[in-house]
Amino acid sequence: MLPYKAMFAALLCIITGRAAGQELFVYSEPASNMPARSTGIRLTNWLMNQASGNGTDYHLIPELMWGPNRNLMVHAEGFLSNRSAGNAFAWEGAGLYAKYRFFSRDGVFRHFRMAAFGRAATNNGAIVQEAIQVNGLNSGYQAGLVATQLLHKTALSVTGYYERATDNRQGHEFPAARPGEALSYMLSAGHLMLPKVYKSYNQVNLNLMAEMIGQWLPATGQQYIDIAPSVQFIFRSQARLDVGYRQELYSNMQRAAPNGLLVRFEYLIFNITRPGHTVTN
Amino acid sequence: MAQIKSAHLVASGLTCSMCSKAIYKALEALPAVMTVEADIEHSAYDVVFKPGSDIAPDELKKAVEDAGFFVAALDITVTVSNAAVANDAHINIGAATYHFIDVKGQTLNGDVKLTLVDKNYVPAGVHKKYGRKTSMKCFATGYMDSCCPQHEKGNNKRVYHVTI
Repeated sequence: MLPYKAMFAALLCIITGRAAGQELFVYSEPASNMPARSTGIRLTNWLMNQASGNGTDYHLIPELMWGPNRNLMVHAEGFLSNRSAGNAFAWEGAGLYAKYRFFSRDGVFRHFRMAAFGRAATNNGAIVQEAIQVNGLNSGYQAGLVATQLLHKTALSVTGYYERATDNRQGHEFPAARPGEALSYMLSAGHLMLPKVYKSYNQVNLNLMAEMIGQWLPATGQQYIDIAPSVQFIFRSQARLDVGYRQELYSNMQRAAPNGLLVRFEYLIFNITRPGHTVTN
Repeated sequence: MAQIKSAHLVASGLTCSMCSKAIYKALEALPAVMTVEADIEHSAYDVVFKPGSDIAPDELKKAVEDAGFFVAALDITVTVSNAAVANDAHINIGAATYHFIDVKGQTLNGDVKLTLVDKNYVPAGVHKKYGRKTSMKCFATGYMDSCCPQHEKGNNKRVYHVTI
C-alpha cells in the first residue's frame, strides 16, 4: 500500500526531526499566536492544477490578522478565484478564523503549547468535488485542536479538526447524497536552516517544512492524504515569504485540483496599539 | 528616589528571530524604556530605563508574556544608598518592596544587581529551591501576607523576592 509507506516515511522524518522548518507552518497554524496588540496582513496564492484538463485554478486569499491579547488571534479572510464561468477572476466569499491558546509549557528554546480554533466561511462557487474545504471552496464551519512542540531549531505540530460543509451561496447547494462532514488532520514539521548563528534581526531566516494533510469522510470512509513540502524566508524578522507544493499521495474521493503551488506573503506590524499601564507596585 | 536603572532579561519558549523581535518590540513600547539591546541567539535583552522613570518588574514580565513568551531570568540594577538588607527581610527601594532571600546581612551602596526569584521569573525548579530558604507565605504568591511587617489586612501589596 504505497500511500501508507509514504506516510510512514514522512512520519519518520517528523519524529527524527530531519524533515525541517520552524513553527510558522505554511499549510497549518501552530498553537502559538501572534503577539498581543499586533496586526498582520497575509496574501496567499494557490495555483492548483485542474484534475481534468490542463487548466489552473487560481485562488487569492487576502487575510487581515489581529492579536487582541496574548492568547487569542483572529483572521478575517477573503476568497477570490478564477473558477467561475469563463474563468473570470471574482470574489467568492469570506471567512472568520479564531485561535485560542489554552496551554503553554515553556523552557529556554523550547515549548509545548495547545490551542483550539474555529473557522466559519461562506462561498458562492460551484461545489465540484467530494473533498471538503471550508477555507476557500465550501461554505461551512470547522473546529479543532492543535498541539505544537518546539525543540530548539525544530518544531513539530499536530492539528485535528472537524469540518461541516453547508450549501454554497448563489444556489450552489451541497449535494444531499454526499457526506457533508469531514475529519481532517495535519502533521507538520519545520526546521530553521539559516542563519546558523543569530546576530541581527535583519538576517534572512530560511525554514524548511514538510506537512502531511489528510481528510476522512466518516459517512463513506473515503479519504485523501497529501504531502506538502515548503520553503520559507523571513525578512527583517517581520515579513514572510512561503513557497510550498501540495501533492496528493492517495485519494479515493473526487477532487477538482488537489496538486499545486502555494505562494504566500505575510507582513507583521508590532504594537498597533500601545500597552496600557495596568501593573502597579 | 531609587529606581530601576537597567535590566537583563532572558525569555523562554522561543528560538526564531521573528519571536525575538516580538519581545524586543514589546519591551521597546514600554513608556519607561530608553533602549533595548537584544542578544537573539540567547533570547536575552538588556534594557535601560529613562532617568526618573519608575517601572515595576511586573511590567517587563507582562510585555514578554503579551508577546507570547515567558521570563526565564530577570536581573535588575537599582541605585541605592545605605540600604541595609538582611536575610529573609523586606526593604523598600523606590516605590517597590523587595524581600531578600539567601543573602548575608549587609549595607548596599551604589548600583546593585538584584536577581528576581519570584514565580514566573525563574524556572519552577529554581523558584522551589529558593522557597526552601524561607518559611514566609508571601514567597508563594508574591503578595504581602500575615508574615510581612508592612502587611495591612485587605490590602495585599506586591512584594518582589530577590537575591544578590
